[in-house]
Amino acid sequence: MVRFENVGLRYGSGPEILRSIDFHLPEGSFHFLTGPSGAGKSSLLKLIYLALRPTRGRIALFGRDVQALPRDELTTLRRRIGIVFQNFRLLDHFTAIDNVALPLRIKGAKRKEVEGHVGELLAWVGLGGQDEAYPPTMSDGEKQRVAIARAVIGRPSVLLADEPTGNIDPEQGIRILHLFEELNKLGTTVLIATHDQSLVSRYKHHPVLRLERGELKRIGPTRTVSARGRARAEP
Amino acid sequence: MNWRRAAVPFERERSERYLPLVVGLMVFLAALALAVAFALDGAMERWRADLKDTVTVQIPTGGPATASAATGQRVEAALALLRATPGIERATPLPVSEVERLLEPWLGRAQLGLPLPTVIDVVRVAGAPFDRADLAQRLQAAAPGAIVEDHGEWLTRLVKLAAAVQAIAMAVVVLVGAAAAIIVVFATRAGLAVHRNTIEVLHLIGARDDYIAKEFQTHALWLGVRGALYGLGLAALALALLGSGLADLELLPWLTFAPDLRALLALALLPVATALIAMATARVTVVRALRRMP
Repeated sequence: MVRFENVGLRYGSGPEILRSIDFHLPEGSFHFLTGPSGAGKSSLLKLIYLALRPTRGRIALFGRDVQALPRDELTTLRRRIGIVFQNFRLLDHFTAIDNVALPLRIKGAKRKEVEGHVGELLAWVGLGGQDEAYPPTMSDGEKQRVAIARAVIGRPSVLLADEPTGNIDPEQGIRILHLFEELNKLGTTVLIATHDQSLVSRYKHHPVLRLERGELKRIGPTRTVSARGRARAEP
Repeated sequence: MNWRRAAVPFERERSERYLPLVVGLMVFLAALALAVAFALDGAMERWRADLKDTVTVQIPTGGPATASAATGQRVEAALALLRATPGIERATPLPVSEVERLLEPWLGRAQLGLPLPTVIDVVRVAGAPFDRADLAQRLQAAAPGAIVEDHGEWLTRLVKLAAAVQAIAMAVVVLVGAAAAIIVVFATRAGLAVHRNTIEVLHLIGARDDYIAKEFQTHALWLGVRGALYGLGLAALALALLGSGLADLELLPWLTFAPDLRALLALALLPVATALIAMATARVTVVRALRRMP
């Protein structure tokens, strides 16, 4: 699903902030990406969601080498990736329901086709009745849930979340992690970047990728849920 | 759910306010230049039609005492010669009142006591050969002091001048269009900078360049239409005032700002062209900027 081979990244002529990164996220897996602040977690996520290009190495998404793909094809790949940004990045002039519907709208969906579905998804993340609320009037926890709904509305194959519990209280964090697990059970590959060790400890049944000073230090045992929902292990 | 609202919040931009004003000024200038070009076009048509096959012969007054009698004889001699010349269809002396009327806008009523020349309006057979020098020589012999004015020469020079002014007016229209395009480029670039975060989000969640470009080009289209309508309205007012001023003065009877169908069509196309220039410019600017994103 996501494969990195000897990937390096530097900004401009600065030092490499990611060095020789090798890993593979199998389809249906659930991983945490941890490491101290500044370790390169967000940069690694940006490489996966194609906001950055690596300066060396090879990245393959859905079995396709991203460096070899034309620009238009990259957009097609992006549509298969759901992103929950660290600071939500909702559109403030759009209501909650319009924010959630945005990925479908940019794909050319008609309003009537998606209206019911978007409303259901908002209810699923616990925001039923807040369809017409604007982000500036919502709490961080509510914004986070709108961002999650926006990330999953297009039924992505991969869901990436950058510090999804960073701005919310622990109880809401647990509820959000529960949502991610539900999505994973439906077959979505999930990767959550967090520096919150207590959160990782609480969900220790999920494998961990640890980044330190730009290097992937430890890759825990990988358990994945296959398309048929059966667990299997990889070394 | 509001499917119509643009994903890029343009209403928070300053360009929302100033761009239509600047575009309006550009369209105002372009409309004036177009109106001048069309007015000159009409004037040239009229000059060609009125003066192409005409010549004027002037018989100046001979002297204070015997002027009247001597001039009358010379006028008769000139008329006889002109009417006998092959290629001349008609030779008619203008009544004094008509000469006075023609001079009145320039000299006022005070010219009424002045010795005025007798003016003979000569109409040539269309397309027939005409030797001005030969006619002038023969007229000098028959009516000393007679002056032949061939409108063809004068008309050629005037048409050349009018064509040059017309070309300058059209160049002004083109330059104004280019200036409007440059302004739209800068406004769009400013918009791209202001909405960078929104554009990045749209790009990362799977919007194609075309989708983002459409947001900007639609916005530019409507700002262009708004500005163009302001400018055209202002130009219509200015042209109406100018037209009525010229009519009151009666100084340049051949120059009129009453637009014909062609001019009206060109002026009506001005907002459309402006809006299309704004739209196309915004699209090219945005697509180029987006191509720099991964």
